[in-house]
Amino acid sequence: MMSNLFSVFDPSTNMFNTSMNWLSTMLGLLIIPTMMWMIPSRNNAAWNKTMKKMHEELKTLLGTKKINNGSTLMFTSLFSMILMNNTLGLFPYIFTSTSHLTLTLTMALPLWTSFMMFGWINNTKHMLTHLVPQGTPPILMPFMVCIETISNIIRPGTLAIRLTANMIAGHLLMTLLGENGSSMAYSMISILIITQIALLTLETAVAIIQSYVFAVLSTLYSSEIN
Amino acid sequence: MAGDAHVDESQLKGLSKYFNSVTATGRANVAKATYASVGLLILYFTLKPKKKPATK
Repeated sequence: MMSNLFSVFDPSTNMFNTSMNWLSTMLGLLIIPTMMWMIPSRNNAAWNKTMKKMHEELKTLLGTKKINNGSTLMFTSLFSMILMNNTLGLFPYIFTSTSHLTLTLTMALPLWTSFMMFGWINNTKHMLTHLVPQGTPPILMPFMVCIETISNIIRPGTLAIRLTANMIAGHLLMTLLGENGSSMAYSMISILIITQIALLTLETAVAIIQSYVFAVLSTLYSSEIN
Repeated sequence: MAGDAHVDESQLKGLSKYFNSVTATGRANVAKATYASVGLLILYFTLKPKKKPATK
């Protein structure tokens, strides 16, 4: 029996009174295929293909400027970490660390702060130019400056909350459906199970998409400062 | 900026030479002017003396 609906997100793994739940953040590292032989195995080839595809996608967004060379490494790693955390959290009893703002803000806030600090200190004119979209009607220019400033300021919040909210919503729905199963009529159980399977499939897709969205948006924000 | 190559800056006259949404400098100047105006407004309302209620 849960004390409240959100207690399913509470940490519950203890070892000698120490909370071990946040270790699940690193659980994904154990799944990344390692190379035993020189020729990649099927798992290795699949992982390499995913990483290469992400690299190509992010490289297109970053453009051809020399300063952005190598940036895809950071954003691809970010994608892998969030992907692992999101998908492993769908398994029973595995703590979903990305459903907590502590983790998502830890990723989003330092990224955004470093982009802003670098951008405003080194490329002040470029940053000011970006506040007014090209071709804006003269009467709208001051309002666009205010709107773009506010949109810039809320970026770390939106990045973090988007990921957290998506993870929480999915897990909450699954929990609600699961909790109600015990008090349901036998005739409805088959419908419940089909719904749960459909929801799990949807949540797997959401987990992958949200990690992609986080990585792509971070890449876009970094490409805007140069 | 890529867009500036298609703009003939000699066509811009008067105030629009410095404040426009086509050249990089124009856009930056608009942003600076907007921030300065907002800053001055905030300063004005902060430093404005508060009216004391008339004593009976």
